Amino acid sequence: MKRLLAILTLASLALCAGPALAAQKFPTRPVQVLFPFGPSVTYSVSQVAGEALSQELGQPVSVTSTPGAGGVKAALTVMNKAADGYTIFDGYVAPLVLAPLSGNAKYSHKDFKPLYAVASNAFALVCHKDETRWDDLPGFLKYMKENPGKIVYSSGQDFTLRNLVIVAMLKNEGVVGRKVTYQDATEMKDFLAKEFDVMVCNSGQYKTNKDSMRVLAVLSDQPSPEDGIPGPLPKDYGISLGLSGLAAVGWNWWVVRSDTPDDVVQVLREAMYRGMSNPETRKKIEFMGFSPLSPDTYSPESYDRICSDITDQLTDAVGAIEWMNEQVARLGM
Amino acid sequence: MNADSFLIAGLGYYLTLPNLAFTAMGVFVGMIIGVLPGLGPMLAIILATPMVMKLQAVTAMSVLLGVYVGGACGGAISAILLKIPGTPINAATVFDGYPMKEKGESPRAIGLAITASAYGGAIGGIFLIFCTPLLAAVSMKFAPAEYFALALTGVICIVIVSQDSILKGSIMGVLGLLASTIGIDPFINVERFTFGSVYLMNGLNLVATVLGLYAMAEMIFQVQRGRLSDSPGIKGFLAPFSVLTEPFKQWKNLLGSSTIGTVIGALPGVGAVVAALVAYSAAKSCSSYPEKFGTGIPDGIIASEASNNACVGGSLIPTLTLALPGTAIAALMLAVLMLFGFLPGPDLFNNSPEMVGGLFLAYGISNIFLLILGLLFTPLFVSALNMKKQYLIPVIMLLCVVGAYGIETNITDVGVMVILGFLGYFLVRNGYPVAPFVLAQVLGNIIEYNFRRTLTLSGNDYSVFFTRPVTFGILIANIVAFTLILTPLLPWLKRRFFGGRNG
Amino acid sequence: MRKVESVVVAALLVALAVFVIVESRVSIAPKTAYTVYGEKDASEFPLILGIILLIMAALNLFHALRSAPDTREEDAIRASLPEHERSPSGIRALVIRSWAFFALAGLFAVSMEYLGFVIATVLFLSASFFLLGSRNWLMLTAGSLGITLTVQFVFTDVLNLILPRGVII
Repeated sequence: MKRLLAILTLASLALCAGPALAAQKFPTRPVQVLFPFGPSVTYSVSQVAGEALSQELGQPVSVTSTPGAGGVKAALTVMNKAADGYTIFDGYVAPLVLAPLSGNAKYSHKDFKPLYAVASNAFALVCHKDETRWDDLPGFLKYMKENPGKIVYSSGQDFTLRNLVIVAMLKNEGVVGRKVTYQDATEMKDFLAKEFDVMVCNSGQYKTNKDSMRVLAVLSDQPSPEDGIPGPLPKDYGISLGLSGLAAVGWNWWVVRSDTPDDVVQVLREAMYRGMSNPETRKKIEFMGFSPLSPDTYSPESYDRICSDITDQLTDAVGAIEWMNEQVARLGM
Repeated sequence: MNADSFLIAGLGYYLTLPNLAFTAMGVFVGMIIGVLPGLGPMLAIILATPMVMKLQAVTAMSVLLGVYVGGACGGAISAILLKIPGTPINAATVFDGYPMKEKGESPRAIGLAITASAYGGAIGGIFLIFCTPLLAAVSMKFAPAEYFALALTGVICIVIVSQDSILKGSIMGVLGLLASTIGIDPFINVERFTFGSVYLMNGLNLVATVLGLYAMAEMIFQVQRGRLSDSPGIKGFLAPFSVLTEPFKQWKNLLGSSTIGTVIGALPGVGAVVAALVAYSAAKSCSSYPEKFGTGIPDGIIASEASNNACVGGSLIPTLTLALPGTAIAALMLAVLMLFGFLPGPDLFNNSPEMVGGLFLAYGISNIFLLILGLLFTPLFVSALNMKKQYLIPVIMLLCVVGAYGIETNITDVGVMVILGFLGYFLVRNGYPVAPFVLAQVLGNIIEYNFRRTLTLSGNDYSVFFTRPVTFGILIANIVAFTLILTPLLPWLKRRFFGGRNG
Repeated sequence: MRKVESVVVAALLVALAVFVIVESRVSIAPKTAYTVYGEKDASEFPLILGIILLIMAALNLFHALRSAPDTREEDAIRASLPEHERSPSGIRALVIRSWAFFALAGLFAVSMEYLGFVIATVLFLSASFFLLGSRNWLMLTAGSLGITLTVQFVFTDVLNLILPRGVII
């Protein structure tokens, strides 16, 4: 009995000492990545990146879905955790840039130290395959101009990039439509059932339903990658999107707290660079319809410049949300 | 291609010894994780995904399917033995599962939960294999207006599951509906009842709520029940053979509950919590002895468990045919399928019939393993609780705290659990039932958001609720059901309205 | 006393209903600067619910004031107690113990992130075992340590979940 007690005590002491000894070489335990939305195809892309990072770090990397407040909840949770490099924020543009811009968050992208970007995905404006009221984007916009408030479109909640990008374009063209807000798979179901007219979808949604859709335009100023959504760009018709480069598309950048020690950040960066440069990883991401972002171009050094540029571009676009809501309200009254 | 050709194509693809072993392992793991309060099949699948990615596609999917199926049943065991639903979908199993355990029949209760789950899941599988086009078409016809009408049916169920006091149960129902409004309104981006808290911006987490109201409150009562140092002396460990046939003796209940579960599973965005509670309510109101529900009769367990497992099969229908996940867990499975390079939708059925067949078979066989493994391991579960209460209660509390923390690695979830435990104690003590709150919390968003969407789509035109045939039909059915259920029960109702001794 | 408790609960529910109604009108409604075509404003649903709750809670309060409290839960608990624990003082002792246990659980929850999972859990388990009557020193020390380490192993190594590290360890 006493011997058993002694053994157990020694064992527990050893276990306590263990971490102290091992603390020399980061990482010594699993790393957590906080994904700011609910489970979805986008989540899988982050899981691919997590797996790649895990291979290089030698420790498991778990991607935890922490939805809430458009991604702000995940960001704030990361900021509340220790700055020891074991918690990474999967910084999508919505919580990283858009939320601070719209005043929904008290932090900014500068409060984080960047690792590398993961992937980007462009959105597309799609209508039903057998739509007869218009043939292409100019035709669609003409119909909207002649029938203000008649078109119903779906682009998610107000302060998401998906909505921002379409509303910016519509305001530029001076046309008004009604937005119906969805948060889950019922959106695609209702689109297929023709409950509403057009939708702003991402590549995952396009891939699985392309036989029922016609792409009016890919909402970007860069042509789509091979596995992305095929279709004309607004500028092909001389229509201005109002946003260029990364500002028009969804993207994510993995970041840690800004007061994380540099040597820890160095380890994470090196591992992530290797992971994201791996052709296997890139292929997996491409299959989902996303564009893996080159770690050479989207490096930690370029983070600040890119985020600031996008912030500037989106600042004008944000005003379009208010404009559209006012226009629609005026029509409905 | 019809159902048979898929199954045949899948046979060669799926039916190998390693795949069967992996499926069995998935079911077992799912069951164990389901038993642990707070953790559920969703968490298990998220954690398992990196590991199964190293396997072949069909093997990986069969593991995940096994976890999904096992997890939908495992929570029933803690519901029965501890009065704590392992996952919210087993909330309705507590009604009759726990009283049955109190009568000393815990192996029978667990056995029934397992057989009802397996049979219900199998019936869901039959719908999945043979009725997929039909059910997929039905789910397409359900627009926001129909969802709204259907969710109102759920509200009626709140009244039915109010147990002894209809007024108090309805109050809890309204509280649950209010709880669902906490957070940021997605339509207008306005904060509702958040009081500046970051945590509340996403609303009250359902698992934390269930753990608090059921688990924590119950632990306080458990201490008050005394006998803390007594040796437990549970008698009888193996489930009696009768559990294999009992669900068939109640074939109407079994079939009805499984159908409800499958249909609700096939409607994206509703889920198994609603399925289980609606099935329970239906069984209770169609029964010739409704007053016995809640005293420990098999009917309640069969209805709840058959339904929530059938929901698993049902949720695969829109997931596979339309790439529209029926539940959040189905969304995860969809994502894994895509990671392997398969595209759900018509594509999948045309180009990869062997995968479709493999998935059908894996699902069906998961339910068989559930039956075998579940019944085999019943003694294990029962004996795990063969501890003195003075040790058992703290350990359960520990598991609940870990479970609450594990939801999103957030200590605030634990705090929510503790606070709701405190409030729940006083509510339960004074006769306010907890289940209506849980059901209402799930239904709240469905009711509100779909009502508002309907108006957006119709251009603020309220008549659409009367002109859409399905919506109008469901609304009329609700009114009829409401009157039918309540009127003949009028004398019983008067006594039960206020509850307590003085009616 | 018992009746006071049930009246207080009923009264709090009425107060909650009033609060919901006021909060809807005061806090939520004004933030809707516009009503988007077809979408109702965000305060309607809570307002309607608040009103329904007020009516129900008022009825409930009226009933609570007029009649004896619902003591079914406590009666069931008392009935399941063995003879020697059934006296009023015995019951009171158990009730106090149950609240002490709840307080321990609360302390455990609060301290978990400071002390770390291992220390907090060992302390909680040992204290709880003792509080609930155990005097078996083996269980109080090695038992609680063993259980803690097992749970930690299963959750962090097998399930890959992350448990609180704590400031100390």
